[in-house]
Amino acid sequence: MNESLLLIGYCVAGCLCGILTGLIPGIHVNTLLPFLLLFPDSGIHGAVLIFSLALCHTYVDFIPSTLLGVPDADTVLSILPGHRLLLAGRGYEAVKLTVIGSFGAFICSCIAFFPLSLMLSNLYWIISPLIPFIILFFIGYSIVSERTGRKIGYAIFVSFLAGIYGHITLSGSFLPDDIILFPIFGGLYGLSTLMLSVKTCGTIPSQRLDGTLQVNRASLLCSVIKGGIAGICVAVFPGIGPSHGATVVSSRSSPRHFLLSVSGVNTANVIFGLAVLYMLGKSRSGAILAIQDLIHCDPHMIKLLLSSSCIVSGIAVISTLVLAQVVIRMITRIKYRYITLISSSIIIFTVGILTGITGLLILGIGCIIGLLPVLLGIRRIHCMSVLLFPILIYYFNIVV
Amino acid sequence: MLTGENRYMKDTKIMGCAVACIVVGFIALHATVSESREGCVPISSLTLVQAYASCEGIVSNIHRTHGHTFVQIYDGDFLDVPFFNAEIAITVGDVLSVTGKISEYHGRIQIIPEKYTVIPVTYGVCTDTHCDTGLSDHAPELSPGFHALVADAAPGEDICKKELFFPFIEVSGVITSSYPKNDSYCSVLYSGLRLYHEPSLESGQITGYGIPTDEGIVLLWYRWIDLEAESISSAVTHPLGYPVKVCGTIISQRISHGHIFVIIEDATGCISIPIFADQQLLLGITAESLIPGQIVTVKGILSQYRGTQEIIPSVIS
Repeated sequence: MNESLLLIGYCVAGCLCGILTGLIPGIHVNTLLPFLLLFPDSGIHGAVLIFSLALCHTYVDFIPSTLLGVPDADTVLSILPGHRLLLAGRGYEAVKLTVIGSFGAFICSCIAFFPLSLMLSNLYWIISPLIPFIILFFIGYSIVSERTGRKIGYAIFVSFLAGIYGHITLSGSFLPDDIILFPIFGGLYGLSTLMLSVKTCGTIPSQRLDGTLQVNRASLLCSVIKGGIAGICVAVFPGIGPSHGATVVSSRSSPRHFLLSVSGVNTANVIFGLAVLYMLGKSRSGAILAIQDLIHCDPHMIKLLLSSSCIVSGIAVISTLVLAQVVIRMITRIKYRYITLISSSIIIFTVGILTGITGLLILGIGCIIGLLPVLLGIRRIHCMSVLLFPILIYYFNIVV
Repeated sequence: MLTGENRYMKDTKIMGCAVACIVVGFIALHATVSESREGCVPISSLTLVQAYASCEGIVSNIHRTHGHTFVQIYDGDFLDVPFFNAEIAITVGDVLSVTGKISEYHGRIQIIPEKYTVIPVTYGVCTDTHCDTGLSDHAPELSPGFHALVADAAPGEDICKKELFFPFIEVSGVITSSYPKNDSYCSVLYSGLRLYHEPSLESGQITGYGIPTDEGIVLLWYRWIDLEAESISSAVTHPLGYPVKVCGTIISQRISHGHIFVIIEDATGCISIPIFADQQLLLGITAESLIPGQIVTVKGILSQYRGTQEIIPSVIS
């Protein structure tokens, strides 16, 4: 029993760290890893702590992105639909949708974990060569779906511009790999959204905390499963990040379904990261890499971490909902103009502190590119080419 | 302006699911932790400090001192298992299954046992017709070759319950010398390889299976055959340091500074046998027991002194 209680203690500690990294913009799971590895007295405890942190982070990090418009690489696509709901007085519903999306994807992942793990190596070798074509199809589809010729032209322009921006920033060694996405997405989606919000909205409308969801059960389930599948793909195939997965599965969803799917991607990614480590011996994230260094990944360890993840998911659901209510109460007392200013300051300040002048420059360029879709009247999903282009270059081995 | 204030628990369904998830997680975690003490993991996976683990391996070394028993087990890698203030009934070759906390001592991983089981193992080499375990012939259904069996001990009806598949090493060669080492014996082959075994062995041909250590090979099963007696002219053709066995008639004997120098002869030639003073007691030889005309069999190491070949004896009969 003592060992069980000790492990639960590490789960709770991981959750607290996850809440911290989730709430503070710019602080990623990887940022805390070097410090976390100092505390546990064994590999198993360390693995449980890190896994709890990574999982809890996927729930809580939608609070700043949805309510404050401050994104990180994992939550970037939730900004616009989340913001839209916030400005419609449904901020709490937006967060709750992300919680349900994450929790649903977690349950789907746990159910699919062992059956899919057995097929994982075959699946990996079959689908891996098709990934660039899937991405190419997605880019083409999102451009063509703009319908009018003029808008298609704008969409091609914005995709190309974002792609070049992504290639230059990601292939050059301007900033460390684990932090480069923060100024990129902070500019493309964060700062640009906040600038537009200042212009369009004076105050945050009254927020309903009744917790009702304006989504029917069947479509909710469908969106959750889509998010889970995308998360699994992200975990299994190299070069695909949570943003890519979310982009592919939710290109033409309503804001609510979009939030449900996007939030599930990160959670399923963390859970299936374990399956990939176990079956293929590969790690796709900093947290899984740290776990790989700490433990021998055998069926027993998998069971231990999955059991811990149930506890963490439960805690994360409750804490995210409670924290969302607290944050909503706070922001409704402040004028929206101040909130956007505070949020913008947080982004600029954090980027400045973490990445210096180079990061601020990347942030500024990203912000300009992020404003273009709105000014040209097209969807902002085309900005995701910032990541898709470099992946295509990687897969097709194109020398630029 | 907030609508629906003080209605935190309105989301009862999802909160209820979350609480249920925590409860399920706790039960699963507790069950997994309890189960963890049963399932064995490979020794190579133990890189943790102070984590629980279960391991199983063949006992390769035992060192008893001051009431403690220090055991080393092997499953392809080695692990130290210290039993503090405990005398454990265990022998080299047994399988030790141990559960406990992993710790580090002087840079080496060790497991502090909380629960352990000692399982006797029968080692043997099977042919098409029988299985030689050194104890009895049994289990003709086993494939030819070396086997490590956790089996019933009753002679004649040993039935294989479980076969162990550890990375064993086959060894064969000629023993040149043997000496006591800790609680067992060490035999040195002509190739220089050291074999650890019980009981003591004389010079002879040896074939066996064991597990490798830094110092040599711990034998788990072996077959020893005494050297064949050969003619003196044939014996001297071996390289220096090689063990030989010859039979001949004593043609001369002299004593100098307490050492006895004997020359023996057969139909093919003669050779000197120096019996140094410090060896006489060990060999049970006195000057009076070696009389010219007497036929003796000498087993020893072929050597050379001032260009003349001689045999340094280990057995004279």
